[in-house]
Amino acid sequence: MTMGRARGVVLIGMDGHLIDVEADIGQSLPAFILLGLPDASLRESQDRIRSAAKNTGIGLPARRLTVNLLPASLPKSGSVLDLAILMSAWAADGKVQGTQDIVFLAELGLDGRLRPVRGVLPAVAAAQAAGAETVIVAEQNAQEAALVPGMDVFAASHVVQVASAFATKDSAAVLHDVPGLQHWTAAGHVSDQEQSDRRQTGASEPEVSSPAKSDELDLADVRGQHEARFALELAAAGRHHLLLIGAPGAGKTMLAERMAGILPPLDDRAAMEATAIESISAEPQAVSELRRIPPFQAPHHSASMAAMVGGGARIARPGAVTRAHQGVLFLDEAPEFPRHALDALRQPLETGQISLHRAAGSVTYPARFQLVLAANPCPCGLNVGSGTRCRCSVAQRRNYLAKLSGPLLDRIDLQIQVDRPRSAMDALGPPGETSAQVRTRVLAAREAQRQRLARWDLVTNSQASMQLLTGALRLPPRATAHMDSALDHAAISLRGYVRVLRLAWTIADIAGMNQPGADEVDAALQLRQSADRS
Amino acid sequence: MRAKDKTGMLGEEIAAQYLSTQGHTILHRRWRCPRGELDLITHDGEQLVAVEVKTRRGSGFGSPLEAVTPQKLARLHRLLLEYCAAENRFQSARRVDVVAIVLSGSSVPHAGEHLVQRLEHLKDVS
Repeated sequence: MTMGRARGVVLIGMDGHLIDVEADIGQSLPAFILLGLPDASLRESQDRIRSAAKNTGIGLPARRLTVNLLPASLPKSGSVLDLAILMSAWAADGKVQGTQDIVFLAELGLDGRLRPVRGVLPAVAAAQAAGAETVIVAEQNAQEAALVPGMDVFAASHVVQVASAFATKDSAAVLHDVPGLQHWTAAGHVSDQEQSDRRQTGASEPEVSSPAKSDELDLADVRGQHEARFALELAAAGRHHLLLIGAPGAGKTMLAERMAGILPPLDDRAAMEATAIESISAEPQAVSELRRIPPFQAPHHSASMAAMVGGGARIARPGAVTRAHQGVLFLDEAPEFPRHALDALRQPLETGQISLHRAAGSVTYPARFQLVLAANPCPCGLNVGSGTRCRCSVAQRRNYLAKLSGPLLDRIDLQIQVDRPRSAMDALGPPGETSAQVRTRVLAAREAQRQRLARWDLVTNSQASMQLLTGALRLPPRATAHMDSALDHAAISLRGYVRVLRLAWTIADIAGMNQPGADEVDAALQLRQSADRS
Repeated sequence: MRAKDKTGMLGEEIAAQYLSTQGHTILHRRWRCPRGELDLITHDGEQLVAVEVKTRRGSGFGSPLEAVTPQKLARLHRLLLEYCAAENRFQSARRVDVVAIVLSGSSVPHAGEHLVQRLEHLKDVS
């Protein structure tokens, strides 16, 4: 046979596309022709493939080899198709058979070793969604590939193992004594198997990492700061965005860094998404288990817009907002960020995703994160309380927080002031509750929200719209009496009114109540206004 | 004569014999003009064929076919036109073939010791 087929996957952004690789050997002078819009990095694979083939002892025929990557109109890049191209070429030469339905995902070294690639998890998931059942990866990627439930994952460290698993009579003689492929499930390496009984072992459920590791930052380290701790708990429970304003040394950063520790562990779908993002942005082979701990991203304030939302020359790479998907994006010293970088957050805050358009194509990454901002009240940071020690001019003070634009602040439900510990009892007193204790309450509050909001297809209070809060979930007038009068006196806006309602619901959920009463609404109003004082 | 030239002569001899059995009529061997040389010029049916013969001992330096680069191929086509001009044979169809021969044995063969390991004949290459 002079035609061979194999399959591979290329990733464009997070979307995997199943690629059919066709190879044809023509009766003409030796040449390697790669069709189907390969870019420079993919073109290099032809030389890797020839060397790898030669150094395994099987070799490629000295003829014209035409390789076509289907769909031909999709631009392809990267080294992930190396193995698929070589297997299709060998199939065309009659050295291997039965490769047409197998997905191959590995880069080749010149010596024929299989090397790990980035993004194996989303690639395997896409292959499965497209109907593929068996995937062959480099050994270092096996654990990651096996995270996709229901996929048959085989791993090898050298291309001869792959060749021998699909060998025809023609090449079997060269390949005797070669170890077989290793079958992997989520629990790990199962067994070396022959090709004939490859399909008999089913994959088990993916193993999960424990929700929280003990070496994490713990909330017990924060002394005093009862109001701020409560605000952090509310933010975690209701998934409200949070702004902490306070003097230097008040503990804003310390509090924000402990946010991820009190968030509930990610469910299966969220964990798969977060792990897939990790897989495409981390080094190859860095991923070995599903990420259950919500990610925490804290870019420095020198971050450019491209670093925040994603960027890069050809297909844009994920930025901080995407790496914080399903977790927390913490911007310390928020007013120091370039204003356009902050305003670029508005679209992902609204839609939960970010679309990046470049010459080579557009990609959409998920970006559903919880925003935590920390800021000083003014450049010198001392404009708190009476503000007598502050050395800033009036204009400086006014301009500093104005860097956080109105539309951005509009989306932040919880805006509180963090004061420096004012008494020795606070600062040196007994440690507060641990993260684990707080997380228990957060979990219960999340569950209460989920049950209440399921009718409207929502999960957390922060997603509740004005129509819902003033309609189906309207509170009795005596509960909202104080806030109604604040609205009447134009002390808060209608938008602020809705945010207070959202917070009030979360306070009630934390307290285990069915719905907020006057106390909860007043507490929410108080929290909301604590930052307005400055 | 150097060993590599001997190998080349030998290869051309083997190729000519092979092509004769395939129905080619050998018109010229080592046809020369100021711009180069064609190894064999034959007649295959109605077609005029310029044959490039590549001969190697062993495959340590890769297949002989790999030595025919696109530039060399372009030169072969050009030389075939030169030949047609010189011999006034423009009326017949033309093509370029490549014959690759891998020989075994030492570099200074005694008579009859050069065994042909492999002979490949590619027709109408372009």
